[in-house]
Amino acid sequence: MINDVKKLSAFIDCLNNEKKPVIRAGSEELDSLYDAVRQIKSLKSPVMPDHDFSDKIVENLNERKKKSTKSRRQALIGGIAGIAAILVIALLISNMIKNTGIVYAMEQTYSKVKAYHGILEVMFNNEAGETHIQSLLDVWVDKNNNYYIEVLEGSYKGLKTVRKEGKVWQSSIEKPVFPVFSETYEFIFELGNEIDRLKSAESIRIIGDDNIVGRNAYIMEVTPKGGLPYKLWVDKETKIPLKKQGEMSKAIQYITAYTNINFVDSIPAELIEIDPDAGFIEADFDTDHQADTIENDEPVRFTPEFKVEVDMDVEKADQLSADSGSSPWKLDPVYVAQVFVSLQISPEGIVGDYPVDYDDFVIAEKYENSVKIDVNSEKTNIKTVYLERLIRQDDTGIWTVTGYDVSK
Amino acid sequence: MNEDNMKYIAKICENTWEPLYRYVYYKVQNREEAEDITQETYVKSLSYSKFNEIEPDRYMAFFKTVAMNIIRDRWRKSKIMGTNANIDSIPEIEVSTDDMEDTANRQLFIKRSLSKLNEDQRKVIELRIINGYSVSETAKIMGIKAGNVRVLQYRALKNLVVIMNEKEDCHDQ
Repeated sequence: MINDVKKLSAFIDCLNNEKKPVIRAGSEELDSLYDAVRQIKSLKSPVMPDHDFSDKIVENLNERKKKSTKSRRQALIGGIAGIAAILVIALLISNMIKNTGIVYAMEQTYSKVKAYHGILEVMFNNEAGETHIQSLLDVWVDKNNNYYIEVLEGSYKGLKTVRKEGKVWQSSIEKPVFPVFSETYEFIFELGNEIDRLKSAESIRIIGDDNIVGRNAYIMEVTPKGGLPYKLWVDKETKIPLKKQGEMSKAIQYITAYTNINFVDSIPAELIEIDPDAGFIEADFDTDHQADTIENDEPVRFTPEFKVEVDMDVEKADQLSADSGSSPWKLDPVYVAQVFVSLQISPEGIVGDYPVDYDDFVIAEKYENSVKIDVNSEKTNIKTVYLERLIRQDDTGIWTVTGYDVSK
Repeated sequence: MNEDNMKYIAKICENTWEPLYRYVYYKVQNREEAEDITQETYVKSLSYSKFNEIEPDRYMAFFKTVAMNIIRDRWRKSKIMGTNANIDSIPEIEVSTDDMEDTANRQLFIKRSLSKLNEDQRKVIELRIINGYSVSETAKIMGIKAGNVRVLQYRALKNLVVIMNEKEDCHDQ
């Protein structure tokens, strides 16, 4: 037994040091313990190689190729086998280009686009398989982060949102409309963002073909870093994303799709011409709640008086909804805190205005993935709310309440 | 291969190495072996004579199959001269959506099994295996002797295997 105790410890040390274990088990029992160690280790994220690992692979392939060419020459100079090998490689390469180079091709295509115009449909499927159109949007976007969006159908029909020179304007409204595109929230299904997401995705695979709005498209399954997988339809010819579909979660499946899209030189000037007399007001989203993010090397975790139990499955589903353009408020920690506090006051649900005003929430400390928000209201005994980005740790990650204090 | 072809190969590697490496790592749980096997997978896959018959959308599945064969082969050999483990029971990650669900379930299963251990046994596993502390560091944190850490982790893992087997039997029934 003493020997096994030592062997097991040495085996753990090897894995901890990211080295290949060379300690012979010698018994079935110790084998099963080694197995258990690996299983426990699999709870952790993998340790990744250096950033130039991809180059090393290619270098290695190159070396092997040179060696095999040399030996082939020695064996069969100018032989049929050599020609066949070249043909195989040529075929192989042409197939590979079709598949794995697609993200690169999308990037290249998009780099040549100056601006685009499309009609974007936001839909959802329910569990019965019925599809409903939530909104239909007329969308103009250019590469300088300017856009014009008009709601053609849906709850905010007629609403126009314009982003020009860093400012956002909205028409025909008394107060800026929160859930529609704004400075604070990512523009759903913006082509550039979609391609960037693919570049940082954990995995991408082509799972089939389809024909949508008269275009032949690949269907790709994308697993983002954090959150649930989604499907993306990409035009085979132009390499532009046409449709995005999340997974069914909470009996709802969101779909966003361009019913048509054209590349143009610029957004027509008259569309982004702001005329205050025509009812445009500057949408001063959230400026009172902007707080500088404090940079910290280590993730900051607060210690609240009361911890809130989090269901990670629900959070993953919410992340997917946010990725699909639904529930964008989950990306705003202040709004998430407001909803949380309001639901503590009215657990049966909120009808009409929130019992605690949005302006009563003030960001006290904000780090990259955690935030502390003070509540200045007599309507609740909650004084501080703590939130974290639990699913994805970047600007597209949703915020979750993890705890609160009732005393200052 | 000419320069253009090598550029294409480089692009393929750049776009696929990460999910492949993750897949291998989850099997072997150490960087040295994972890097080695990932490299060998590309060499074997690209020299496979029928590679051109594989549909483009099956490349990643093919790479993973080749990697799995390499792992099996290595571990078969190592049974004679080194370590050995039941690789089928190591959770896979991101083979497909379904596999991701399996992985999540498997991880939940491991966590639940760990929670059945007593506090000291759970602590030693957490420190030694999950946090990766050395025996002496763990001994210092737990306030016990190094030798006791080794014995404690051995017993903890033995108990864990029993718990996991029992749970799996219940699940099967």
